[in-house]
Amino acid sequence: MKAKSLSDVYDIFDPQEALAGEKLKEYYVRRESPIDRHANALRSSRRPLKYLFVGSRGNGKSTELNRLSGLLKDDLLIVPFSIRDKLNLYDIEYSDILLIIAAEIHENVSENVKLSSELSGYLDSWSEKILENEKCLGFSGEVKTGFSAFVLNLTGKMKTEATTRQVTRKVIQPQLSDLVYAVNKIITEAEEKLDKNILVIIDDLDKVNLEKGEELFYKHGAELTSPICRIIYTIPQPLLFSNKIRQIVLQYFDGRIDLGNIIIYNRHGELDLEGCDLMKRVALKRMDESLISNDALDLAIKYSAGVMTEFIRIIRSAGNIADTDGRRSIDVSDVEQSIADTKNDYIRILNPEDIEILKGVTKTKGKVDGDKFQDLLFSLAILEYSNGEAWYDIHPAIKGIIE
Amino acid sequence: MISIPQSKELLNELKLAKSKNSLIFAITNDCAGLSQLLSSNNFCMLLVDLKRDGNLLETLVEWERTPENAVYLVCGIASQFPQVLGHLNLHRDLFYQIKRPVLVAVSEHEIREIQKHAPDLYRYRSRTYNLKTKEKAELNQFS
Repeated sequence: MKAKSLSDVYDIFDPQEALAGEKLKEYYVRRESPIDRHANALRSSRRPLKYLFVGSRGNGKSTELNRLSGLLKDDLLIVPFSIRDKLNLYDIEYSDILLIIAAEIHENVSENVKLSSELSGYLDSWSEKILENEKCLGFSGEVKTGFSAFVLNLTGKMKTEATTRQVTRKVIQPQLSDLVYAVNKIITEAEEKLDKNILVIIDDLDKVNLEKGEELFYKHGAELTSPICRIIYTIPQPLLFSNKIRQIVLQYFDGRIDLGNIIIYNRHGELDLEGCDLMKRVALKRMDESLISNDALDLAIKYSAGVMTEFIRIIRSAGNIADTDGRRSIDVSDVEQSIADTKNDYIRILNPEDIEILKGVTKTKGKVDGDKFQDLLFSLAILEYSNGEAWYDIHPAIKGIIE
Repeated sequence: MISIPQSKELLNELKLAKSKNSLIFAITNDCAGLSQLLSSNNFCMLLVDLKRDGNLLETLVEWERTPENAVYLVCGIASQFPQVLGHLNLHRDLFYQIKRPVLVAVSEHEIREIQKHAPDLYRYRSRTYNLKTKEKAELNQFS
């Protein structure tokens, strides 16, 4: 349903919501996305491909991953999950991720096929061994027999209970090869019985802090790529500036999938009509044209930085401002006020050192070495764009501040 | 540099957000005045004072027991710094499930800390209102 009034705009332009299901069908606007190309590779490759999925925060990664699931659901068994639903992002280790992968694959597979008694027996005895080892460490957790009950119980507690995490790691990490062996046995049998390959999609790993991200992907790239199914990991974008991480990408992963920001201005500062048109279609798929003036929509696009959630938030906020004023459509002044909020957000957190870096990026459109640049990229003060060759620019709302 | 009375827009947003998920920040040093503003505009204002009340999320998960016009007003967040920042940043998804607007009253210092140390939570916001400029006048005008 398209918004017919400004109060509808408030409902439909929700910056927190990634498009899925019916809303994906209704509101999604086709953009230049690497998903289509990689969908073919994931479908047809004989190898269990491992990809890293990269993009700015809020630029539509989750929506694209939902779309990928839809594209491949007939050809592959898709096991999608958000890591933050399962684990504590502030206290996460590679073995936790592997355990969750095992649990999610097992759960999805069990809904579709009955595993052989031989494999079920192996998994049950593996989980009993883990429980025994936990008891030896003095951890008297709830006793659940059988692999299903064991992983269900454990994964339910991994997110919230620090003790469970610590004990589980103590027990599982020295025997990681056993866990990987167990996962791979499930994958092999399930793929054979289903006559389909398995694709695990892990969203929200890009939300871990950079230090943790580096630890996971640099130190444990080998372990994270050890399950013999297809896997897509989201990864914090600034991590890819690290030479170490780039090595890992080449060594263990089959590549990275980059979801670029929509280009609104090219590197010479000229408007990119194609990008602007795409954003316009995003808005007008969700709202009646009469609800926003052309100039207001153009202004919202120019200040969106090509980041989808930023754009959605500007429209929603401008809609509320117009509605407060008793008007039925959004004018330029409403969008201007919404943009002023974004400016204030940046004014609050930028320091003089940041401003110098931002001035440099404005001039050179290039990147600067160091953590500060990565932090600014993380906060969307700096954005990466690419049309073959990558360049950087600062958020349009900041331009006025640094000038 | 706020030229338009943002409290009027805040009230309108709270009306639009009735029975919906919406995380809103309001910069103010006058939580009591904000509380009065909500009550006098027929919202069922549920005050969560973090200086007194323990866990914000534990309070919010009870939202289904509240009337449709309920608005959670959260004050005193700095009293739980820094732990609360990591905690809320991690569990921000919960705000999506709470079908009541949550209005967090913050000082300039508090909002800066939230932006820096809970960036993903901050991205979940619908809007940040600055009620501080000419605060008293605005609050009085709409109450």
